Amino acid sequence: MEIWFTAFHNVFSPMALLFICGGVLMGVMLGAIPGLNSTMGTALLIPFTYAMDATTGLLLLAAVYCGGTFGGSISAILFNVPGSPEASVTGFDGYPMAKAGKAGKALGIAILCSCIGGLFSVGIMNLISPQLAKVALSFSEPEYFALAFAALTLIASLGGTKMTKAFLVGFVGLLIATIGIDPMSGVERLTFGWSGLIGGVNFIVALIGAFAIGEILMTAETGSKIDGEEEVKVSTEFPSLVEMLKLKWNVLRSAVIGTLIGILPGVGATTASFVGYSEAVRWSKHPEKFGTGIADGIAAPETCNNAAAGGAMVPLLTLGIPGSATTAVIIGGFMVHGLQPGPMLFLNQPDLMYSIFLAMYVANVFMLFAGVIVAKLFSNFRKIRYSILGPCIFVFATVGAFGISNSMSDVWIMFAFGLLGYVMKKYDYSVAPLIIALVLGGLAEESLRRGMRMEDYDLIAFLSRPISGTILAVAMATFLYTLYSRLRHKPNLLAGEMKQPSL
Amino acid sequence: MLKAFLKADVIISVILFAVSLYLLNEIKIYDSGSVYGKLGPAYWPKFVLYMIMFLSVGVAFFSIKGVLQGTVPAFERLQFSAANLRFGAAVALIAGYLLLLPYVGFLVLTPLQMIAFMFLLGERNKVLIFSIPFVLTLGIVLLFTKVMYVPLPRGAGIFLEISHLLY
Repeated sequence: MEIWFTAFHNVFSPMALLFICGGVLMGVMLGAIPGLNSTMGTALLIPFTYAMDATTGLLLLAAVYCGGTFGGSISAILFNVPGSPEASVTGFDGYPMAKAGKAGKALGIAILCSCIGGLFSVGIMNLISPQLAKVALSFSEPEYFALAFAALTLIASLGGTKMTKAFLVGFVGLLIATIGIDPMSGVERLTFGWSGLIGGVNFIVALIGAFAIGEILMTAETGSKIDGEEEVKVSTEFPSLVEMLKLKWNVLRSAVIGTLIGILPGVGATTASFVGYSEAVRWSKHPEKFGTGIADGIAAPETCNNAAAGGAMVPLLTLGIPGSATTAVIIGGFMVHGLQPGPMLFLNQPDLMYSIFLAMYVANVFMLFAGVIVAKLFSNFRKIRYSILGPCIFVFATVGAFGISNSMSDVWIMFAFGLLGYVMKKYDYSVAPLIIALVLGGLAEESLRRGMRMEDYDLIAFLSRPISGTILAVAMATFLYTLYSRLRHKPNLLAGEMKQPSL
Repeated sequence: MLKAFLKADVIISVILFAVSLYLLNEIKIYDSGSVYGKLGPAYWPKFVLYMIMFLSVGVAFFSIKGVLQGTVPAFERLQFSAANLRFGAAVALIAGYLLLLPYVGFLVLTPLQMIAFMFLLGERNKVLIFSIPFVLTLGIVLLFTKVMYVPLPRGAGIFLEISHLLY
């Protein structure tokens, strides 16, 4: 109890509160601008924490991390350009909702669900950190493959009524994910001698191209008929209690999934949001509505990615293993103050650990306000005519793609995906399976090959392991059920010719 | 019958099938890497390519079937219009911008590109056309180069010198 009092004193001092709130605001801003993210923000802030005491410095970094994870969804919802990879899925339903004139509602759901997801994971982190870390360490390649496989089966539901086309696009995404150096053998695959492809295709570059540049090209063709929404008041509108109660199981499930995936070292919030979304589709009574702008489609990824952010702190604080890119940077924050995160830190510096827990509670609550402020700022851009906004988005997209590895190759790849996105949009192919496959392709291939080697090339072993077997069985069963129910009700749906919006 | 074969889905499927066939031949060379284990570097891409070929046939089949049964509209004849011209101009504008960026640099080229793009998208307010591109470019240059240390392309020759005035 005494430790909690010390932590309370540390966190609720005016200076610490100022840094936490400032950190969250900064994180949300950084996350909302394509090309900038919380990893970059925390990295840049580390030198500034030299001048602070260890507790204040680490509270600031944790606050930036919390805010940055949410921030990306603001631009994803308003412009279909996710500010950060974690927010990629939020745009699937957030943008259609904004286009339908409900941008404020979409932002409100995203902010509230992010806050709930964040608070849930911090609560879990607070209560059962060491036990969870042990479970996470028992995950091996077959379990990672099962996770990727389960998320990929989501493609069956994502294409709306065009399942064959959705899977075709999904496999094209898997093929693109193989471009670059094979991590297991070092062989260069499908680069055709172009050095720009050696590192593979960064999925955020592909995402910016397919969504933002594809949309700009489409608008250039159809003419700029999108006027600024001067008549529409875009202000954040939080969901009512009744609306939240409708989302309760989705939010709870996503919070659990996000926290668990966040704990897994190296998987992170982006994968968590994709898995969370796929599970929301799987459990929904109306999976066909996903991608048309529904609350469930925003609540699931937003709860998941913020829960994963908290979850990623578990292996960092308990074992000293980073669960994500940003937590890897945060380790640097510990080290500049001569601290080594891990089990000994709980024994030697318990007040610091509990201060970080408490600061993350505060940061997640303050995110409600920071989210509203930044969303208000960014939503004003929706009042601008597309003839002005389009070129501005193009420049931000270009800088965002360039900034990932300071390379023009990425910008050309973005352009290529822009053309691909345009063709897909024009001929009614869903873009979402391409992106999902691109994100999960590497994980699926590597974990399959490593797992097969580990299990002496016996695929049945994947099914006989309790965790991977359960995940694979559930994924297969739900996939087959989706297929069966579609064939049973509308045999022509596989043909992919019914007119229904796809993601 | 010809109309059924000219459907966009069929054309896309044929292209994907042909590309997959070509790539299957290309990735044969990676099989040498399979000494690292039974699942070599060609294993996964090969599986994915076979699936693409299989699904391409599926999409083409359903598409042709749909046209023949009259459940989906057949191919509409392409007609050249202002829309095609605008699309072509937008592609040319972006490609030209990316080609020139390493030589002219971000600072000088971006406002010019934005002015042209705004005009192409139908903006006619001269004050906005000639103010926003310069303000935005300046803002981005300052934010990304001074705060985030992203080395935006500077260009060459005189453009390099101009960029040094700001970053």
